[in-house]
Amino acid sequence: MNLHAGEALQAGGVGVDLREARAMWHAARNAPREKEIRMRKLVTLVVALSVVIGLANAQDSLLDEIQDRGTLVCGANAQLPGFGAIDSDGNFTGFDVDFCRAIAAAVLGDADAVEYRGLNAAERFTALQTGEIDVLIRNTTWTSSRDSEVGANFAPTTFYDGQGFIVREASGITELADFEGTSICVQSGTTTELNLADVMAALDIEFTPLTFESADQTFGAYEAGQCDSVTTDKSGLVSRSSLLQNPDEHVILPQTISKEPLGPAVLHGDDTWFDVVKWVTFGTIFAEEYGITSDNVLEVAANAEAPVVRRFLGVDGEALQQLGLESDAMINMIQQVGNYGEIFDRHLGADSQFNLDRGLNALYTDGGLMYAPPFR
Amino acid sequence: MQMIPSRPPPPGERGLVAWARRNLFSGPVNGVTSVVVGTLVLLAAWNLLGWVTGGASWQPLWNNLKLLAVYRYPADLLWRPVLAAGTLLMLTGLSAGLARHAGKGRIIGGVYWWFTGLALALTAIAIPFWESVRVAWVAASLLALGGYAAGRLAPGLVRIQTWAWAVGLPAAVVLVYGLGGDGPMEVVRTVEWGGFLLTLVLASVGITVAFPLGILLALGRQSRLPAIKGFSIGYIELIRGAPLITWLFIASLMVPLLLDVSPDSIPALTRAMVAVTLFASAYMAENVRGGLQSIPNGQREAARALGLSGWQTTRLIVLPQALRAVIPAIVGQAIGLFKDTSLVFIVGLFDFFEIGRRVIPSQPESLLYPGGVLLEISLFMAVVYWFFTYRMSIASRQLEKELGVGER
Repeated sequence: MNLHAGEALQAGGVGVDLREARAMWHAARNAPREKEIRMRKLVTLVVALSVVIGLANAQDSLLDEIQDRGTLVCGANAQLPGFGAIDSDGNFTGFDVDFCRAIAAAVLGDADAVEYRGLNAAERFTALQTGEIDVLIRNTTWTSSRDSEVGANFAPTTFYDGQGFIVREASGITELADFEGTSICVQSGTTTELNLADVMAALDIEFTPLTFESADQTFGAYEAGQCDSVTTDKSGLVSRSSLLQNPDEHVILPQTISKEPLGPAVLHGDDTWFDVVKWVTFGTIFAEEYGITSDNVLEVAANAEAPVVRRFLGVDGEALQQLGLESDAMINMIQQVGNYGEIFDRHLGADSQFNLDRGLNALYTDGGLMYAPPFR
Repeated sequence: MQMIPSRPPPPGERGLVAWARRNLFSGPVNGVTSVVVGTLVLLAAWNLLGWVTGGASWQPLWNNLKLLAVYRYPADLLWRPVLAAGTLLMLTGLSAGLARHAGKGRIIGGVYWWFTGLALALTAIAIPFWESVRVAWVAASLLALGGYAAGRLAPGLVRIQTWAWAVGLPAAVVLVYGLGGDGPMEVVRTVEWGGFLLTLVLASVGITVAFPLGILLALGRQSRLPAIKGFSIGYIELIRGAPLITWLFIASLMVPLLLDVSPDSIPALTRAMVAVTLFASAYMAENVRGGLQSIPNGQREAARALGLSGWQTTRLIVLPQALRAVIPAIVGQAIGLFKDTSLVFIVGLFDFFEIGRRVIPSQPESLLYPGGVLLEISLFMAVVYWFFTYRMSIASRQLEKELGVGER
């Protein structure tokens, strides 16, 4: 889901923060152009200033500060099932949350040393810019303007999502051209709605969009037969489709009409910290590629002969120390949180109720996009 | 001469049937309306009852009660807010008992029993089901009942009543927040607060601080000193000129900027509290001003003629009458504020409403229930909000009656 006017528009499709997103979208769309530019300049100035002040105050990286403080402050989502939610005991849990835990385990040796800030879509970048959070892991789509204007640095993508469609099998719809003359249910005020209009206009397909406030209403209308299809992010389609009365009668089309790479983000201007977040994320992928799991990591560390694995686990070489981490950082991380595949399966894949396919999120060796550069 | 004994009215003039005839079926139009509306109401009630007892899934609500009550407040320290509630009930009970002893106190007694009833009910649930707060709830109930009994039995305690409040209120705050160290009194930072605890804290701080501020602003607006008058008018009109949500945003983002401190150093709760209080005081000021204007100028002149100073006139003559006249408006505002606190989700706080509306329906487990759990949670939240606001509304009615508003 790319942003048009509001940064507020956010990635996760499962009924999140839409009211704010909508309000901000309308506000931004209606605002006069120059006002917007002035606003952007102001935001850029504030970011630049805070970066300058940050540099002037201390040459130290956030990494040192976090190690002194003993906790990682992580901006997370509290409202996206599977990615970030709060369980009944008040603990944050989910796919994104596990990356907060992975960073804490690598940097501090304790996956529980995280202080979570539940952020909504509207405030997440402000929280990052003002330094309220150390890292933002909140199903945030990596886009060029977020890299430049917003002042975020994106670590490797942890989840490749994209907008798709669910239809009734009996409807005979198998490709986008079949949507000619049909009606499609979509949540209002989301970039999903805009993507849909863009793509259909480009293909010259006539269709009727039916918009609804919430994910519940959208899927309710679809189930009631008011429309032929629902469109939202594929991860959202999968989690919601299990709620339909006869899940077997519906199919998710293979077509994907947008790119939604989701990943952790840190603030511009602190490369040391950025490197840590980046390589911890790579570390989860690397561990999966080399078959290192939370169960066998100690054993592998003791017995591994492959130099690449020994360097990764800090047995040989200085790769981890060069990043500013202790030599047991990756062992702690994998032991306490697990490798990428374990994290995925736990919250989104086979071990969860969503049972999501790895798809693009498989390792590159399995035809996916998950690829970690070498640790050396 | 003999008095003819009075006879009962003829049948059909009293009782349920007569009442129905007079009120529901006084004519053909009324009759048809009554039947139609009555059927609809009964049907809706029947369906609701059927859903509540059969169709609804209450398990997620039951599992998440702690989250709704206190959010991330540490589970092993839950006894602290419970005891704080017990302390507040004890103080209220003490005052209610003492007032009852003096033959007064219908209002505070009503409030006391209303919430003590709730505490006793929660204790009854806690004893079999909530192991971690079982003892705490029993203690809180005993505190509540003990306070009332002490007030009834020992009228001499009236001398220490003020002191009891002066000690008890800070004690309750300390219980919730903590003192320090790592022991049982370790500090629970406000980022861990949420749920109904947060709603109560925001609303009670907002209402109690906004009340005196509002009176000052209202008096300031009527002042003859241009600086004070100008400031009051400027403040009131500025604050009222933008919605609460705007002020929450401003307090959240601008206050750290203006004070030149990092956002971390001022907790989000404090920022929200400041915004809510400042916002409420502007409206409170206008309510009070309405009361001030209802006092005829002759009263002021008469008071001055009697030799009262300006301050004495305000304090003894004007304000008591003015406030009495605007009780309904003030209580209305308090009720509004209590519910308006649900807007603090915009600055990243997890109040009661936010947890019910977003957090719980977003738990993966909640997706396992067809149609989600929002309806059940919403119904529960409505009942809770109603329980508190309705009690405020009763107290306001009683207060009006006691003070004779409208009979002046």
